[in-house]
Amino acid sequence: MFKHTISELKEALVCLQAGQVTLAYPFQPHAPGGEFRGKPVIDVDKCIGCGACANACPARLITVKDMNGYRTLHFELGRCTYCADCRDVCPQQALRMSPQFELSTSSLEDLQIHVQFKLVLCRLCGEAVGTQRSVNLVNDKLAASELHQDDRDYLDLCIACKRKVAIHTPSLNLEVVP
Amino acid sequence: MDLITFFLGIFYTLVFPGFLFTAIVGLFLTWVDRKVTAVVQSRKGPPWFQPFADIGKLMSKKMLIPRGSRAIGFLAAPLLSIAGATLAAVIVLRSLFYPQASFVGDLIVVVYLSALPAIALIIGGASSRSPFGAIGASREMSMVLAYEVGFLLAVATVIIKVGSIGFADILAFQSAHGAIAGSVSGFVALVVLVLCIQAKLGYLPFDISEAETELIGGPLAEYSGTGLALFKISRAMMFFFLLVFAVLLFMGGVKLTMLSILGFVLKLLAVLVVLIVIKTTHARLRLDQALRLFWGRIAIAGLVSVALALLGL
Amino acid sequence: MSRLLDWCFKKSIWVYHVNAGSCNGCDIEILDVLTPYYDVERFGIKLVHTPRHADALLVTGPVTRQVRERLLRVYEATPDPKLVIAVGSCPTNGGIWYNSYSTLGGLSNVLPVNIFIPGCPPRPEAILYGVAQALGLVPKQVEPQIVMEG
Repeated sequence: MFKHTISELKEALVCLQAGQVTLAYPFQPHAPGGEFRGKPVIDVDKCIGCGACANACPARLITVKDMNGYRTLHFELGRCTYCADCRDVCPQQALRMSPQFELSTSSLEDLQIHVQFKLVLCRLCGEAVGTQRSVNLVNDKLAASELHQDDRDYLDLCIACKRKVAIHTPSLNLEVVP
Repeated sequence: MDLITFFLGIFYTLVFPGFLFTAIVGLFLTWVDRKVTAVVQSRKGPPWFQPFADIGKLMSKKMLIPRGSRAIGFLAAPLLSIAGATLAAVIVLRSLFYPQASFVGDLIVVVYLSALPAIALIIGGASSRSPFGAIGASREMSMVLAYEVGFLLAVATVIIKVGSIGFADILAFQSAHGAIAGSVSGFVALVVLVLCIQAKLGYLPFDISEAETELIGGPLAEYSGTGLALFKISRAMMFFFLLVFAVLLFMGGVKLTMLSILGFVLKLLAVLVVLIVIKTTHARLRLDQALRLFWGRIAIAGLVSVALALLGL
Repeated sequence: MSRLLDWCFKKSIWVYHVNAGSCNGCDIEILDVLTPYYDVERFGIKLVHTPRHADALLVTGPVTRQVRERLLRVYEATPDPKLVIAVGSCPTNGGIWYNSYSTLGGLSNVLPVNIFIPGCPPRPEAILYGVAQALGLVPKQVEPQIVMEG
């Protein structure tokens, strides 16, 4: 026991020199620095409801449901691992990882994001084509591109009906004999 | 014995300087202990009311008695611990404040009363039907055999120098001849006593019976609620009592002047700081290392101090 | 008198840490909270080594099938009044193991939970905030984000 007494007392003196290292944390905020990934937050103006984040999430906490002409995105943030795959894969950069980390709660309903978008339904069969926002986005991109302007007529058709209409449209060069 | 003396005796035992006074001052000294530990570890410690909040919280919890344990031993052990600490503290503090109350032989009474808390721990651990309690109890038995040797040799040194067994005579000797710690044999005996107090209180490096990470609290593993609170109070009382015992035996008593009281408090705090610094800077010893230390070097130092006292140094 | 005992309970919480199948990330963060940098002893929080001395259980990990028995025994061994605190994303809703064959999908399926502290792993500050919130000292800060397009 006495062999190490001198060295241990020297260590105690070193600690005394360090003074008090305690952070004043709950009484003063202690923000995380740099690229800290906290709770995910959706920028609702940018999101087009495409569902790419639902594909990418490893915890599969994002569900996309189409019902009654509306698309609902639901995030169960209780099991989020804050990996930011959803942010990386979003085409519109609508998801960001906010620096909020004080997320404790006694009920899991506080840890959710629930977003609802209007759907565009196919004018022939009534199936969902996509959200109004994503259709508007495609429309804007086509309008800006000066090519493919006639494709803008097909924007409110689902895939199957788009194919049917394309097959039965009379060709410009040949006459189709029924 | 008339009624007034009887009730006065009850007052002395339960309120001042008995159970309430010793418990409150002892709990306050455990706060000083935690604060000094915090300073050595570079952090802020708990606020001053922390030990009282701990005891209050423990009192408000349900006490669970393990199925199959001997309930009599399990429940009597904390009460035995408190009784031993209270009586020892009453005798020492009464003779401190009122030297006429001490009688011949009260030093020996106090020495064996101060062994009661350790015995209570052994009884509680052994009756709790838990392997941790059983191992803790057997380790505590070995430790008691180890540290009582040095403790008794240090006390014997004081008895030899003073020439009588009684607190009043020890205090009178020290006011006439100066503190016993000033002489060579007294100083060696004080060092031996401080190390034995470290083991008696169950502080690192000698907290082998209650090793928290190996034995999950040892004998205290199955206690909860009021039983645990009583054990912690008796431990705080032993802390205060042993500090006063050490200062009284080796560094003189106290008179009713401000300077003398201040000096006494400073001596108490000095011994406390030595105990805490040893506690925070050492790792726990194994049982065989501790036994070898106490029956080897510390017993030899005690014998040396007794021999020096016999030679008159 | 009961208000005094409630005050005592708030000022002195002894925690016992249970690992119910965790990857040890949250366990290491709990260890970080107990260092001098965050110093929980100034709030009266102490780590104890037996559930019989504990007031709050810090449970990490998705509850695996093997640990469920032992977790229930630890819960029964803790005397009332007690708090159960789920630390991390795994006990909150199962974490990324939410639909695995060997886990039970979160702590609320096994024990009554007082507070969840999500994070993978949660920062030591977040754990401290969660324990303070369980004692009623600080307000809840997280809110659901709900947007309906009509």
